[in-house]
Amino acid sequence: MSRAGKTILFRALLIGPALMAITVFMIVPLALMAYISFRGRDYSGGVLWDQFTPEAYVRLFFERELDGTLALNFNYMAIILRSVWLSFLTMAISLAVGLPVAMFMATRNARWKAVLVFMVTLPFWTNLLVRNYAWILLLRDHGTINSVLLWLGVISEPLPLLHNSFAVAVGLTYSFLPFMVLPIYASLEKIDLRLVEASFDLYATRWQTIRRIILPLAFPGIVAGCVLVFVPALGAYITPELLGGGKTLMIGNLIGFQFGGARNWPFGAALGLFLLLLVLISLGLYARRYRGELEGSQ
Amino acid sequence: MNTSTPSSTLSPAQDQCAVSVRSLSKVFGSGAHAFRALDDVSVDIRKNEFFTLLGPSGCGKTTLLRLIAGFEQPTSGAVLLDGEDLSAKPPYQRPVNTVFQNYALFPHMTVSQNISFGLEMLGRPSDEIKRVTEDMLRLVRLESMADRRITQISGGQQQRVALARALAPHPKVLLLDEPLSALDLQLRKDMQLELKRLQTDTGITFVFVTHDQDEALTMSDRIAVMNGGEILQIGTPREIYDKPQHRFVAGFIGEINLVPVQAMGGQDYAISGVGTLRADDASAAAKGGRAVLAIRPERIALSAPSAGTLPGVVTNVVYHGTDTIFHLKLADGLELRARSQNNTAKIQSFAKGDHVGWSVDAASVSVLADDPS
Amino acid sequence: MRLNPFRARPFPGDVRHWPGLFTATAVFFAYVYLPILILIALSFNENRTVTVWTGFSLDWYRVAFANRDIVGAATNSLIIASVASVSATTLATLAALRMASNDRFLGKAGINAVFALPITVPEIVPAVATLMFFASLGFTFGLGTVIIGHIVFCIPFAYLPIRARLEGMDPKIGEAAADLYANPVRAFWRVTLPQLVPGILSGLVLAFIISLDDFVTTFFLGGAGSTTLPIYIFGLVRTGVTPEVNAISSLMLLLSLSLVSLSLFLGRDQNRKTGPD
Repeated sequence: MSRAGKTILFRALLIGPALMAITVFMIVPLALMAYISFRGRDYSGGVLWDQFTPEAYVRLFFERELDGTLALNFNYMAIILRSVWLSFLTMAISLAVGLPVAMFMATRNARWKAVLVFMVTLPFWTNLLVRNYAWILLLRDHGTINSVLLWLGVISEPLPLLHNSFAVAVGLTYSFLPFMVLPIYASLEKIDLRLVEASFDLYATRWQTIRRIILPLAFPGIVAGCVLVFVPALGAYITPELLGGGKTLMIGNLIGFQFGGARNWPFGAALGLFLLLLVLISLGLYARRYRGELEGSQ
Repeated sequence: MNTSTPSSTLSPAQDQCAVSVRSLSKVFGSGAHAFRALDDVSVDIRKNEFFTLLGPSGCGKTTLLRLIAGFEQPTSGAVLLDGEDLSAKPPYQRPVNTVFQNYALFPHMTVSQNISFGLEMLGRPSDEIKRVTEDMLRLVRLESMADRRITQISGGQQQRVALARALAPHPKVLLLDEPLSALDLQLRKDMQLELKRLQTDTGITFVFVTHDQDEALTMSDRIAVMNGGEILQIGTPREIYDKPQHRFVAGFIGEINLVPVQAMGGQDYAISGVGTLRADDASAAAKGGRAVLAIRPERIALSAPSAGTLPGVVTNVVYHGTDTIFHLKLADGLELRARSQNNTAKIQSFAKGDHVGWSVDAASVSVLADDPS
Repeated sequence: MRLNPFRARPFPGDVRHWPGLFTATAVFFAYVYLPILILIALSFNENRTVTVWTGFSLDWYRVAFANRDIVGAATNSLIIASVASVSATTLATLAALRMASNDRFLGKAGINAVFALPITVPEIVPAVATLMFFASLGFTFGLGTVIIGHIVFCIPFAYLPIRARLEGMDPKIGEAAADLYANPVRAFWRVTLPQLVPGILSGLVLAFIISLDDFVTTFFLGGAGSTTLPIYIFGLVRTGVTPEVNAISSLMLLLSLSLVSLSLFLGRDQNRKTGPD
């Protein structure tokens, strides 16, 4: 066999298995999902393979009355908008909290940096379900926060903290905050602290220094952090399931519901495709400008 | 002063030749991004020679070394070792070893495991491996470090391990890629002497790559000065310093004055508006032709203006401790630097603004072609 | 009162001591760690009401360990995580060995994007897509389908650190091996692989944790007999908070924490040069 042939065979043997695993069990299913979203719904929980219909997409905006006419229905749109809004809120809170934390970390000495990075990373590797469950203990009517507030006499009856958008926002922020801190830290860490001194030397105030020196230099990290928080928040499943109760659904739960109680696979597939495209578009926009940052921060 | 060793620039007889590089070219990339790192280079490196490739970064010296080692494939040309063409052989079949710039020691092995690696790969018997490894440890004075991990020894010690590791298989040629560049000045001076000692003791041909002219001048038997993928001049350190044949060589090694002149025939050259200089150089330019004279500052003698000297005005005096440099202005806006050794305590008699006379021994003047490169 | 141990000398140009940074960081870490610590503390509470502290007790751990469902779920979790992490790490190592070399070939960037896909897309999407895929093929949902799903999303967690470690290796080291008469096969076994082993183990442990902790994929691809600990906990939490859940949850937290520490310990760059002084 020729040398070039050997090279290609060698490459295929090494890369092939992993590539096949992801292709067959992820990319092919995603393609199938796109196909199913245009098929008819089998009420027993399946797909009418020979029936083409845009029904699943129609369903996003309209409700079919008993007589077959369409009526506008904003129920699903409301859930999608809530998902986007909650993800955006999560991103904004994470940025507000994460930026000063990243600045603090980036200005420590090497030893402290290592400890702080470890402490920020650690929760990511613990069970997401358990971490969200911990917030149930805190937010319940008889949970830790209400108990403490009652005991202090600040309130006379428990605040309704659980099973609402507030609880979901708290839980989402809690789940994905490290993704904001780490990339910002990574870009701030490269900044020479003498730049700040130079800025002060050139008569800038602290606020001007932040705005003119620190934020521009940290910008790639900030964008990366925002993407890394927004994308998983948009597809969250566990947090709204546990902390949102039945009332604060997000897209993820709506998708899941189509494969459980609702048994509407084509609609679930359409929603899944919609979420996938939303994510891929935001990642694509990001990648076009900040190629390489995303991978570097993972 | 030995100014003429014509044999040094010619090919030595084939049986004295360790490495023979034949019309070697290397092009990286292709199309518009193609970069010609090495352009039709030929050189013969003799047995038991300390041969240095000297030049600025990007001149092709490391590429040449890597082609000899086999890490790169030449675009054209061949490398011969003891007359045998190496082209088809991968690096692990070539009896040459390399000391890498940042040593490239195996981080997961001890000092002695690093040193014995090559012998193991060659399948030598274990008692020989053990004996040679111990010899090598002794040679580089690291007996007490044999079982240390690479991360537990200093940079200078890592340097010596890299050397011992490459010498252990007793290669026909040892290639050294700027091996001293990571060391601090004092350590570097010590290692220069040690390398020279090792080369003499082992009798192995060394091909040494550096951009440091001092290193090249102090250690080498012969130097090849490279620039832009070509070898410009090959010669002993003394030839390279005293008789540069190329503007680049003259400028790259030490300080030099370049004076544009016109050939007057014979050995005389006219400096416009100043006078005539005599150059004792075989490569004389044709009468009336333009040329450049290269004169080292320390070869210029200053005195009071008199017959037999050329006139100049001192524009600056820079004191350097061991010597003093006088900046001279000649007529026609030409500038010249003269270096005078402070070998007595007497106060130098020239000051800024003084009119002085200067002269150069004809043997100290090189004539270069009037070629701006 | 000086709460901030880092504050030494106030000087506006010294960004290390700007006001608010320390406070924000303290609040941040409290926010991140307090819920976890409260959960662990409550798991030792003897009271059944879960939130009011009445005394120290290991009863709930005893109850949890006596529960055959929990033991069964834990066994499933370990089986799935072991098989998935070992398979994914094997696939990822092979691929990384080829992908880390700096030569270019057609589709290399695309292949890297495919390897990162499982962690770029929200998990719910591939989970339901694979559910439909397996159902269309007539697969029986159970341990097998869960393991396949886990292998796929574990690949990037193993692939990225292993490739990073390979790329971090000095390419000159490979040349040095070749220079010292090691042919490519021997160079791989004697030089590349020994240096890569810590990276592989680190990737293996990370993949194991990720698989162990997974909920969404397991939930959608699971069937009878594939209940894992997270699925079991989810079931209990939905019906109400019980102290047993606190106990198993705390155990899962501690397991993850010790495994991730192990992984970081394995993956630390012990061969980092002390610097050519």
